[in-house]
Amino acid sequence: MIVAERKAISDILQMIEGAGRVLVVGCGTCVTVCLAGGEKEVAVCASLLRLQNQGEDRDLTVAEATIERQCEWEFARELDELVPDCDAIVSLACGAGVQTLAAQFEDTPVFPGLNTQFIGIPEEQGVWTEHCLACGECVLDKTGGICPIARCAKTILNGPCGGSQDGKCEINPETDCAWQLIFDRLKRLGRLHMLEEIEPPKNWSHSSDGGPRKVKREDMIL
Amino acid sequence: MTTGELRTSVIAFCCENSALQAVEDARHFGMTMPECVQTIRVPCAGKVEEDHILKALESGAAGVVLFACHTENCQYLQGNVRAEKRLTRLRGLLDEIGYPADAVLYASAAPAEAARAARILRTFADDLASVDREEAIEQ
Repeated sequence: MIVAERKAISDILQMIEGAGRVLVVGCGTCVTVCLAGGEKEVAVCASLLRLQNQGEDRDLTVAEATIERQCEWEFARELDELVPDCDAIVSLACGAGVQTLAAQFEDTPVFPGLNTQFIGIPEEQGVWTEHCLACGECVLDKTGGICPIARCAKTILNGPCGGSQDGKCEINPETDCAWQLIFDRLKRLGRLHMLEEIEPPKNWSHSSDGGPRKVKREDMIL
Repeated sequence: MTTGELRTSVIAFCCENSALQAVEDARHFGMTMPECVQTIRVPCAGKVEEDHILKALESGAAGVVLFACHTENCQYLQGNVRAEKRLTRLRGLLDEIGYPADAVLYASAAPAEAARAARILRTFADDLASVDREEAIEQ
C-alpha cells in the first residue's frame, strides 16, 4: 500500500488561508488502511480545522467526503456536486489522488493534506515500513523476495556492505540489514548459490530517472 | 440541547463495565457531582475515537472525560491502554491548533469507586470553570 502521514494542521491552515468553504476529501484505499486519510481521519482533520477556527473572526465552513479511490476518475467524479460549493479542497490522499482531483476540478484549488511517504506494509499495528521503491525492474526473484532497492540504505545489488553488524544496518541499529535478511532467506530456501552470481549495475532509466513513467495495455485502450 | 447549554457542560464517555456504574452510583447516593456532566455509555473506553471527542468539543462541550477501567482491568484487555494512548495523541492534536489540551481528560475508576468518580468529575469541572474557555481558545 501507499503509506502517508498527515501534514501539520498549521500547514493545512496556511494552504487554505482565505478560503471560506473547504472540502476535506478522504480516500478509502491505501491511506485508509495506514490511518492517514480515511473517513475517520477526514472527520478528525475537519473537526480540528473547525475547532481552530472557533477563536478566529473568519467565517469557515468545512465539509467532509470520502471516496473509494481518489486516483480514479470514476470515483473522483462522485464529488462533482460537492466541489462547486467550496473554495478549496484538502485532499487526504497520496500525491496521485491529489493530482487526480486537481485535474478533475480545474477551477478549484486542491491542497495536499498528507505527505506521501512510501510503498510499504504494516510491520505491526501502528508501524509501517518501506518495502518497494517502484524501481520499474523488480529483482525480488534473485533476492529471496526481499528488496535490496527499498530496504538496503545503500540500495546495493551485491551485498551486504561492510556496515552490516549483527544483522542490523549501520545507518540505524533498529533497521534490519536487508542483505542479512536476503542471506537468511536464501539459506532457508536452499538457494544460497544465487548469491554467487554478480548482479550487474541496475538500469535506473526504468525508474524515475527515466522521467515520468507510463504503462500502456494496448488491448485495454478503447 | 442547544450549543449554549453544552458550552458549560462536560461530556463523560464512560465504560459500561466500570466507570459508568461508579458515576451512576455517585448520583444515586447523592454524592456531590457537578450538574453539568453528561454521561455517554460506551462498551469500552477503547471504542471512543478521536473524532467522537472532537465532535463533543465542536458541539460546545467545555470538556470531555474519557472514563475507563483501571490498568489491567479492561474486559477487552487493552481497551483502556489504547484509550489513554489515543487521548494523549488527541491532546497533541489540540495543542497543534492552539486549543487548550486540558479540555480533555483520561481517567479510570472501578464500578465500586463512586466517590473517586465523583471527585474526578468535580475537580475536572472546577478546573474548567476556573479558566475562561473562550479566552483560552482565542489565545
